[in-house]
Amino acid sequence: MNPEDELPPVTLVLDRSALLAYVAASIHAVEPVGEVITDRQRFGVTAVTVAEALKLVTESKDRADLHTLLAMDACAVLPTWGEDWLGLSYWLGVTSRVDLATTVLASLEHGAQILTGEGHRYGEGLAINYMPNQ
Amino acid sequence: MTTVKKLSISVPQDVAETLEQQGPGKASAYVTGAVRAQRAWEQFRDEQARRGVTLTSEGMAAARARRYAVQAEWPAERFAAVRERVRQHMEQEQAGGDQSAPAA
Repeated sequence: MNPEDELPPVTLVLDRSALLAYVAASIHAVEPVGEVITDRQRFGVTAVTVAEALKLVTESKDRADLHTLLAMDACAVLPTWGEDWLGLSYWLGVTSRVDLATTVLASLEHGAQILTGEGHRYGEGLAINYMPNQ
Repeated sequence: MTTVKKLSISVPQDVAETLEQQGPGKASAYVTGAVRAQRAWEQFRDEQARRGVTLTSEGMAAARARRYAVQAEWPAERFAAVRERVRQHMEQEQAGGDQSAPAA
């Protein structure tokens, strides 16, 4: 790979609550994302989380905002790999939600912290960046 | 692979020195990284302006402090340790050992 093709690391993964807070223009979601970009890094969101968020975001303006966010250079829409089914199953057991389970897998794969407004759902022992109460 | 285009540009002396210090063939990657980083920030900043969201330097600094605090508690080894713990748990389950779901 050429040095020009190398992408900045993903250091922050947004879960569904963080994505919804971003769409609602919460400064507690917008500023952490902006801060990562000023640090020349990327933020990520799993494809499953995007699907879950889009299920809940019904206003066309909000959906457009979400699409714009996902299309940004600094945004990585992250896959969940087939070979990770065991880990996915484990984290589904912990979080009780598949979107959160994929977020944990992405966090562990990239060594990135999770930006969330519902950190209690992850149990203990993960790199959680709690959004202040909104 | 990215298509590249050769450009001839003029830069101030201090910028030229920085580029020359990158070593043979590295100046292009340095400029590319800087331009992409600036573009990513402008893209984000302009979008927030369009949405009417005001970013403050104080808020950005607080967000950075929070991220750095978590980062300090989570070196790469700690992520690797969690991955290894889960791998072992799932191997035990496959071997017919612990069948229980992990506690939340």
